[in-house]
Amino acid sequence: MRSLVLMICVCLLLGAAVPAPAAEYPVKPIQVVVPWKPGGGSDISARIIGDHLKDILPQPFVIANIDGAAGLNGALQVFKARPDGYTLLWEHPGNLAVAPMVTKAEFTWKNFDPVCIAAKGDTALIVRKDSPYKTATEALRAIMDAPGKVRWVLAPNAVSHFTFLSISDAVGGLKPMIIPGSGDKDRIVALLGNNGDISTVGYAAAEPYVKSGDLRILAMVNSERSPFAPDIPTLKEQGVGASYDFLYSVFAPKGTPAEVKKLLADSLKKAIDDPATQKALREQAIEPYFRGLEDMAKLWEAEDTLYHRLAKVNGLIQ
Amino acid sequence: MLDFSQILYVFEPLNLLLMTVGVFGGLIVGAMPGLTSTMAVALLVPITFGMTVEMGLVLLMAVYIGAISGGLVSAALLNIPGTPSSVATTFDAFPMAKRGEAGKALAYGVFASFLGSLLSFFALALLAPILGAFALRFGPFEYFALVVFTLSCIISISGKSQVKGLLSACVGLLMAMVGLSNTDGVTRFTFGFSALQSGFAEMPVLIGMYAISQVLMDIADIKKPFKIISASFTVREFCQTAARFRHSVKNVIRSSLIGIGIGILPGVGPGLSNIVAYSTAKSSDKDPDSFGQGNPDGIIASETANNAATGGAMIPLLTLGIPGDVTTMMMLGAFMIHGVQPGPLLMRDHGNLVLIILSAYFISNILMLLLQVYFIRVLIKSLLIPRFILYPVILGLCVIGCYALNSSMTDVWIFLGTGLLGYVFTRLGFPLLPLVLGLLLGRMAETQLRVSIVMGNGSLAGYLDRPIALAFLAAAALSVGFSLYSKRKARLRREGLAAALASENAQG
Repeated sequence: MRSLVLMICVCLLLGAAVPAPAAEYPVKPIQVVVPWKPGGGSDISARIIGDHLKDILPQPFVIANIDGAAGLNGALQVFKARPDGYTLLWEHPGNLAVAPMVTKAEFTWKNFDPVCIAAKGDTALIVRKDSPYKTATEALRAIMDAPGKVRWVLAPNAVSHFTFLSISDAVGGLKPMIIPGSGDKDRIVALLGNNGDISTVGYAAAEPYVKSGDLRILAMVNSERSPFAPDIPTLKEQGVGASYDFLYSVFAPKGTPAEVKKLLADSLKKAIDDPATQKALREQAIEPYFRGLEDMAKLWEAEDTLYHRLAKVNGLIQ
Repeated sequence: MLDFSQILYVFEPLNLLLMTVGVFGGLIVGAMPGLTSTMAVALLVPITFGMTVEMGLVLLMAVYIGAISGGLVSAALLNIPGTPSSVATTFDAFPMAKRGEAGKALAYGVFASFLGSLLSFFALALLAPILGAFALRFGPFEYFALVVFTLSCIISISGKSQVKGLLSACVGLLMAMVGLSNTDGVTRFTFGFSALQSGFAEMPVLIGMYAISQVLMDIADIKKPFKIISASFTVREFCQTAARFRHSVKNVIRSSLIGIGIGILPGVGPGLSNIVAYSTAKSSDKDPDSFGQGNPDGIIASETANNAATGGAMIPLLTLGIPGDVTTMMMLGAFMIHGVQPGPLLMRDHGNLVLIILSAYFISNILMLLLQVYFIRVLIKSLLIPRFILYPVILGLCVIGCYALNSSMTDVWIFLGTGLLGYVFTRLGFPLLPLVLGLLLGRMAETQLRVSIVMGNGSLAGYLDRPIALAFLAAAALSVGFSLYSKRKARLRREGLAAALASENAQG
């Protein structure tokens, strides 16, 4: 009896040791780590695109929400995962390029292999409905004229912090009263409850409050006018040389075979080009935006350089 | 105009079936130690993406109600609160179950849950917009004052030794500081473990502290079965227990109001409501010493409040699009994936959806009550399972539950580690509750205090023109003063009694 069990064990071990031929990829579901709670822009974009991939890839995308530590928890899991294409990371540069830098994590975005950029989200500069400021320049001038008075709500060392820093950098230094508030919802609540005066949030999160008249958008922080709010000028149009685009990007662990990455990128492109996917994404105010791995690396590199400079200038890193 | 015929949608056979299955499944998940409503909803949200938005919401609502109500079971029968929201339930429900009256303890809890949900349903249906607007008046000042007030409640419900209680709370507060700080994004006390970046999650600590220490403490008499007086709990007995509620009308109303009031505050949720309600019930009772010994009013206070808080948590979600707790946050995700953006316009643009949610909330509660009445009998029978079989199963479930929270082993290690700490604490006579609350509240206290200081230009002066915050701080001071005074009085009375006895003995 015992020898039989032993034999089965040995067989199982041998079976596990023989690598599956790469040509068959994917033979099992692909885990996509979204390092945030369900329901945010990252999660929704991953789920919609994953859902539309099911006719393109023989195996499904399974979304795993691994939350915590400003997205580092989820990234860490992918960092440690086997580079076989069965574990992917869904992240945007305002986070994965920033968080490891300021927290001195054991990895940076360069320790992952880029696969592609899948979609783009918009950011809005918002104030409460009764705010005296009608344009972005008015608000920024007011902050400059009275340092420490206007309350700017942002999540320290996260996207909204660096969005603020690049706006501040573009106009030659702003000194508002900094109110910490992590997450779009928290920042919106802070404004609604008059515990803050101005903030940047994802356009999708702000939209219902703008429609109800509780909040006003002073400017879009995007590089170009948003297709979802074509009437609202960007910061650049108002003469402030700062912008931020949420680039929902797909990463694989370092060392993932090139053909696996190519297959993934091609399949994702097919899904993102599908009008049904595009419609579903746009309903969530997410713009389909496919870029291959070379373009992705370039865009991330540019963002990374900007963040490093901002962090250094503002004394966040040495 | 709202189309009230939409309510009929909930009564379609398929939806009734969905709700029954949802409530039943929720009850089972909630009743298992280690598995929580958060987990139940997290598992279901992706499934609802394939349904229509109405159907998905009906199902989620049912599971939410079921799982929150099921949390009572492991708290009462095993002394293991499955979520922070049923911590106070263990105080009286477990002693009662230990006496052999497990059925009665559950019946009190079930009926109290039902009443709490019912009252918060009316608050949700009638006053949602007003209450939602009130929730917005809570800024950093008010939140910090509320946390201080809740911490002050610990004194009145902590055990005999104030010093040990305080020490335990300090350990909890220290644990709350581990990880990335909310206010400045600095990493603290991780000792180089990147897994600790996000700090100690509440659930693994809570479950570990209570489950592992309880299991280890019981090892000595693991072969003895639980004491059970009546294993066949009948509907008649349930009705008798329910009739006993006429003596607790005040308690039910007060606890519901506390539950709704705390539930509407985003981010606070049911976790605090049960503690505050319990300590208020205790200090306003004629015989506060009977709490903790199996007083039905303790169970009623805790269970009414935590269920009332579920309705409360729905209020900011439906009126402002702001989730009140982790579970409603995931429900928000379920809305959004269907293209419905909860926010101030939800009532106007999707009024029918709101009606459906409200009806589903109401019906799920009734289903919960009906199912629970029959469920109790099965649950008592489950106590007949020998503990050397039951306990390994419980620990297994806890490990699964902790892993499933965030698909990470870190939480499992935290569960095991804090479990051992909890055992040491229990052996040395340190109460566990202050530690758990310290962890639960510490992070919020720190963040809100620091933000409020920033807003007061580097001083605490900002509190002076915040009436709500001042009221909470005053209440906290009064509550501490009152409980210290009454404890001293009780001690003096005991000493006086002992002295009188001694002199009597000397004379005799």
